[in-house]
Amino acid sequence: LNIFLRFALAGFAGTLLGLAATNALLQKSPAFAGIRAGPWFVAPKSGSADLDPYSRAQLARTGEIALAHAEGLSFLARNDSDGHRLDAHCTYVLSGQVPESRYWSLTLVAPGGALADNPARRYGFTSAEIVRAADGSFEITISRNARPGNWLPAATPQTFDLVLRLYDTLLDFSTSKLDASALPRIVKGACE
Amino acid sequence: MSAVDRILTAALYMLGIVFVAGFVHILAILLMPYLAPNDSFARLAPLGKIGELVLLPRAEPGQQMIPFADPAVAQGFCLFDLDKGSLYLHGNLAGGGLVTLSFRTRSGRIFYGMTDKATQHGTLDIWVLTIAQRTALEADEDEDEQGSLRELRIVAPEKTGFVLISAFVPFPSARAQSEAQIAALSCAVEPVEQSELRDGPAKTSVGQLSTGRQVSYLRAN
Repeated sequence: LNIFLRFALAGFAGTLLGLAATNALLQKSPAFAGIRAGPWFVAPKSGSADLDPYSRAQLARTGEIALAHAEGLSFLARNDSDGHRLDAHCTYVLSGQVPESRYWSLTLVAPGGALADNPARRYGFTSAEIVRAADGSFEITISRNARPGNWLPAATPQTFDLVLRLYDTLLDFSTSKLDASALPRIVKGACE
Repeated sequence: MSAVDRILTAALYMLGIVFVAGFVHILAILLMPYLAPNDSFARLAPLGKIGELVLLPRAEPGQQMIPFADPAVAQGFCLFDLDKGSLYLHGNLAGGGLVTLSFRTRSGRIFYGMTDKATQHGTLDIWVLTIAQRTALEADEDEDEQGSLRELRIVAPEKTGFVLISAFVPFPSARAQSEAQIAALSCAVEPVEQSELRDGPAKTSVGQLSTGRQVSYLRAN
């Protein structure tokens, strides 16, 4: 085999391998650098200018717009509090603490960030519209079928993700450690 | 060629392939923010002109402009291209609802972020500029004026990008109100050129522009 052809082939194979590795790495979800607290994942750097190149590349690829640090913080849950993948065939109860913020919103999305169509046109809750108990606590029931109280329809075909956004929050990771008890629990109930 | 030679040659080629792969990988990661065809800028750019405030349609299933968009916010944006002039964003955030602004470059870098709490009585008076444009603005102000300026001047690290304005919608029925808060703001391209400033007529005093805005510096048109 001609030596130049061999070189060209090696270069081609290397390029393919490099692109394949990049593609595989960027499909890793969620972002690279972040903090886990219970079921929640947060990438506080995604809202700042000194974002790592991998997370930047990932955001550019998906077209997602991360909240700027001054705007708030976004938490993503792909699993329940026991570490099992959130599944639209099961019922979940989300309850507990939400870190102090002016407003927060909880949104249910399909993997990849698409809203799930449902007859109730309910895609999430905000801190203002949620029905609370007398002591201020709340429970959100996530299930396919309608429930009394704060019902969030799990309208995706299979799995789903939950996004909790804290707007104008005082939460800061540079000075304090994030504790799972500061964030809501997601407890699985019965499955179909 | 002996067997050892063959193995050595093959190993060298493998090493070469891995080296090229590593190089391509690093290059792809670094270039992705500039080349990705479907990033947030590419999704927003066709919807509006430079220096024009555009209200985004409500995030609904099947017609989301941006993945993971929060259905509990109303959003608008202004594109900027500093080669065509600086971006001037102004207006009043009446109503007291939560409004956040983030300033982003075309390649996705966030260079400034703020909420309505950071404004003076809800008044927004913000310039997005290059360093040269900021210098041109400052060149014609004396020190007293600089101290009294209430406007915010932000130097963008890239020439193109957008300002995203988000107004929180606490209840679905409050959406129109939140959208009105965004629509009450306006964006404009304001050319600022140093040479024109320097060669321009004598310094003007505080004057009223056609936009109705008080200016305490000379503006080149």
